[in-house]
Amino acid sequence: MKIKIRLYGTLGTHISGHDPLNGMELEIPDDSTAGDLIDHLDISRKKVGIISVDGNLVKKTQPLCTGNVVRIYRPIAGG
Amino acid sequence: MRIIKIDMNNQDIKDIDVPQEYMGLGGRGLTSLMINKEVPPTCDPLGPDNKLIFAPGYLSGTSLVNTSRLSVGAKSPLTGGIKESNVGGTVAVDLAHLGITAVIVEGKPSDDASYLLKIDIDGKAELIDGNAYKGLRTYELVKQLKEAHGEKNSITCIGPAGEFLLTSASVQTTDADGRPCRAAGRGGLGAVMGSKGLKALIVAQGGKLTDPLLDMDAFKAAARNFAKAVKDDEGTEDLAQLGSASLVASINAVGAFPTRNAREGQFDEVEKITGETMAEIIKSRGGKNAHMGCAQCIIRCSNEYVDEKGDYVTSSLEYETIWSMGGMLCNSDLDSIAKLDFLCDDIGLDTISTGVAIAVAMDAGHKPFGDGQAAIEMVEAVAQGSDFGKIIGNGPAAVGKHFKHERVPVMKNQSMAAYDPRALQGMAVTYATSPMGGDHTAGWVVADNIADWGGKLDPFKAEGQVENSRNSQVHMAVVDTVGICDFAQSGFAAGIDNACHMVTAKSGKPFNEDDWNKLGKRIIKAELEFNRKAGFTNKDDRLPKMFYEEPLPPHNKVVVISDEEMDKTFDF
Repeated sequence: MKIKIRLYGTLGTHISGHDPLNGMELEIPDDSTAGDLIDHLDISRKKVGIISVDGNLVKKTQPLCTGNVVRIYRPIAGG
Repeated sequence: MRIIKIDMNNQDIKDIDVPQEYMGLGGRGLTSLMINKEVPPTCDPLGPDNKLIFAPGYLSGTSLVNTSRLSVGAKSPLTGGIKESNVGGTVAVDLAHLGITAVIVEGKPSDDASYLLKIDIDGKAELIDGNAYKGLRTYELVKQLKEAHGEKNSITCIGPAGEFLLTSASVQTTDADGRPCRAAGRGGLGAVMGSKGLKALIVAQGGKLTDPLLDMDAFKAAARNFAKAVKDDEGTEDLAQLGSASLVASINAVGAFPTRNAREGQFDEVEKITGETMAEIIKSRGGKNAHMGCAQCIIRCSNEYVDEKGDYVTSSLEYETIWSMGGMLCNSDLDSIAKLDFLCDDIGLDTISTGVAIAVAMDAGHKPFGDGQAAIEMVEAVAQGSDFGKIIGNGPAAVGKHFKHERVPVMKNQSMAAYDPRALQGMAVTYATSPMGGDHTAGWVVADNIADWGGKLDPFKAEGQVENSRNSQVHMAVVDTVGICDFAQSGFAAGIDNACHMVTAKSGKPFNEDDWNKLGKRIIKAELEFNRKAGFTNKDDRLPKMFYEEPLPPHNKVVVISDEEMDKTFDF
């Protein structure tokens, strides 16, 4: 299925074709979850903070559907 | 280990040894304990009885990375309570290299004369006639002072806002490039400096009078551990690439990004002002990301924002300012946000309080939300000294009073920061109970409230929030005392005891994790005592009613921490 992804912080730095401002479209296996997507991108799960699908916060177990816009953020620190 | 004491009543300067009771202290611990003991709590904060204290962190001037914090303390003209606001740049390290533990400015000139305090490479202090520099904005001031006194000086100064005694006035200090773009912004301490007739501190760089370390080997080993932990931390890379602005997208995503004067928790145009967007703009225009703003920094969270021609606009554009001048105003024009950041630094204004003051004015209907140019004009009005400019420069509560508008997000009269307490209940506790007033750095418990960031607390429930905020506030009181940058707290992954070893290596006295916590409690107790004597009660440890009554979209929650729970925060 085809989805759109957007990787924040430094998550997209090493992902070929990922535009820091617009993300990218991606073909992933049907029945993938958000966690599967992270693995598919070969991103270490410990580098991932929150995930949203179509603007709603989800867990890594969230099943994905064609057309979803998946945003993946870094954990934060700061003040 | 000496203190320079300046009596502005008669311009007398004394050079004294650090009294025994303040030994082993620096930064906030020193300023708060000293203010509690020596400043009459009910005094006029802009009168002769208030003291303005500049104190490098206890570990500033050592080889430990990211220890360039200078605490500025006084009774605040904004909150009416005790205040410590700390700032990076280079001055803390420079003072420490001159063996100076604190500079205390007391009294007040009998006339409206302006002075400069110059501390030379031998650590000798003198007051210089500063009348020629009156009214100058900080960038021009620094340019002229560097021409007159040499490039190799840190300049810590006020702009017109401080001279006008406005309660959002900041104390600005120069960064690693010599620009006055670092701010001790909170609490109106620039007005205290203005009330003392002090326009600037000029501190020589490269001093060789640093306090000795009693156990150099132990210090070096612990400092190495700390630096390694900072370097190894996952977040350090993001801070270097995007700075604190890396928070914009995440905090907006969790619905805690106060927008439209905190009517909403998400900004629908946020993508135009994220850290990612900012970094791309800076990169495409030839500015600088991963810029070093402070002495001995290995994180490099700073940046240099430039315009379309590649000319300098400001440094460093940070999360809090992107929020206060962006989300709070529904202003998605990053160029105008950068311009507003520069203007605040140049005029000597706290970007948080000033942005929120403008947000309150827009909320009251003075100008439409989203009008960045109107915001620029309001900030310029501060420098012009117009009646309305003074209202803006006195912060959100003054603006609310002027417009008879109740939606003013302040605690103890100081504006909250860029985390809405309705979506992060832990921040409600910190904002309400911190002796400093609305302040995010006093106890930043954001990650603790978000499971995906390793947090264990439900952001919408009260359970555990008071205890967690208490622990964070106690810890931060010590972090601000040793002078470690908030963003370098990743270094504590090497253990609090590792940090304690460095304190011991300098003081020669045992100091362990238990002592660390006891010191934090001692500092907060002193701050609470001062505030009580100044007239504060537990009724001041509350949030404005908008946070209890107006559900915040998208989660539509209100603050649920009860008054009784708030009152248990500092029950030690």
